[in-house]
Amino acid sequence: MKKGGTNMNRYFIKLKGGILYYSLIVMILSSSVIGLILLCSYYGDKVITISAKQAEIERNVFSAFNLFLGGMDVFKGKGSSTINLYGSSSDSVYLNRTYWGNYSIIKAGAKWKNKSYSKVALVGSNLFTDEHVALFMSDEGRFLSLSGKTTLTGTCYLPGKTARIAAIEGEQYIHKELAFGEIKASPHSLPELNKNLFSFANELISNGRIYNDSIINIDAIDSNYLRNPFSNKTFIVNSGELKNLAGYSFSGNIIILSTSPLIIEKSTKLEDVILLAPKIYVKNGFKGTFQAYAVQTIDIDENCDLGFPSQLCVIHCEGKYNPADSLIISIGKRSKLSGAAIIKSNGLTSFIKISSGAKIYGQIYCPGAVELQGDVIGSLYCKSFYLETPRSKYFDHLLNSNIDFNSLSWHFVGIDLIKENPIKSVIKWLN
Amino acid sequence: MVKLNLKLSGSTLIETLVAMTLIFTAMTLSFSSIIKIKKSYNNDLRTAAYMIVNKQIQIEESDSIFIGSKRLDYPSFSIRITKTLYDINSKFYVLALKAITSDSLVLYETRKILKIPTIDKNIKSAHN
Repeated sequence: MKKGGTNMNRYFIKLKGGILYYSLIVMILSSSVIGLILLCSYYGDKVITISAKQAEIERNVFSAFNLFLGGMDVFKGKGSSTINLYGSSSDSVYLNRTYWGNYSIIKAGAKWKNKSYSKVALVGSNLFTDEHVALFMSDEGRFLSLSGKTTLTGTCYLPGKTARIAAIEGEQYIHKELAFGEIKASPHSLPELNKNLFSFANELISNGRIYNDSIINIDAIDSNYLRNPFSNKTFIVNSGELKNLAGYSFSGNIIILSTSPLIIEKSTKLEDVILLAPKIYVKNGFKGTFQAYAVQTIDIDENCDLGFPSQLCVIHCEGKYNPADSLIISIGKRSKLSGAAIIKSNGLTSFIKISSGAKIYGQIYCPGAVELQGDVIGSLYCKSFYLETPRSKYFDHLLNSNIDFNSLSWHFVGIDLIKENPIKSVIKWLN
Repeated sequence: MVKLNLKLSGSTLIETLVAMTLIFTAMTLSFSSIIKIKKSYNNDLRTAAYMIVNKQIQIEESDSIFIGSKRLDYPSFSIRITKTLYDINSKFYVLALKAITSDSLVLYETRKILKIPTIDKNIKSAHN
């Protein structure tokens, strides 16, 4: 019994369960740590590889932009295109061109696996690659007369390749030179406007819309505020019966359409939008950026600041909105415009008035008379000048006016006014 | 009947030492293998090259010297910078940066097409 009991007790050896569990925990812990380190290393390398590839597709997008801006015909007459930068499909960039008023919107994008990169830019023409024309006055058989502190700086196309010195309102011309730049003989007619310049506006005026847009009524806008980025579809805001946009705020990819005269008040906030109406009135003290297209008149009141890039365009449309017998752009005292003021006429009288103290940075084109009492920093194309003083009225006289191309900022971007300039510049990045 | 003692007990000094040795050995082995793998792929060098090339390309873009090549030496690799005319249109040039080791292994390379700014320079001088 005793022997048997001893044998039985031999089987009751205490197994140290702690060792097994301990080993398992140690194994799990160490394998987790090792796995974690391996994962960190793998993802660390992957991040670098992805970053390098991302940087490469970004560079490819900017390379494509550089090709377009530098004058290469990347679109070949189409609206979109794909270019292989270095001859291989791995370096391909997709480019798309749409118009935004007188400017273009260029989108360039590249992809690699699930990574993509795109940039969108508002693009205009590089004015400095062409002749630096300050004044182009077509030869209508009358000479230009200069008086007072009038200064012409840049290439001037003048009737008979000269100008006369005159003393009007008791002010004698003060300079020795007629112009600070080359004087050339002007032809009998103004150069024609670039055919494609108003293609966007013409489509808008003819059809009341552009492709791929969404039309909304101004009453449907909450809190009088609407912002639409250029990555979205264009919003066409129909102003309906509303003529006065006081208190409204519009920004981005928006076209405001009105069939009655439109009034922009000081309290209206506009940024990058397009306005289309028969007549557009901008009231005293307004500040903003817009492209305005009217078929009769654009009237800018005093002390307004139309920032870059703004456009004031009056387009003669046969039979549309029953146009009056003249097309007028008027810029009030001490107002500022950075962009362009253009009248396109098919025979109607055209007139641009720039009041004293007003400054225009950019391009002016008027197939008629210009009353210039302010300054033009850029180019002015016209047929004749008109000047009204309290004492008298003068034709083809300039008194204390300044037309200066050379003072135009190096960063200024214009429009293809006369001919298509292949060299472009970015006005601003839209994303 | 055999009874298993399932109660967890505290570890002895020997157990702890064995566990620590195991962990230490495993860690050392894994670290050394990772370092070996990284070295064989030049991962650290590639990262450094990527950083330096990205910085250098910005400097080169604003450089006024066009068309040509130069070499920048760094302790473990060198960067070869070339500016060649773009073959499709000679108004542009291709700025290429290539980071290579002493045994000609390419660590990182990138290119960008830029406009030859001769026209712009003329305008600037005319303005001045």
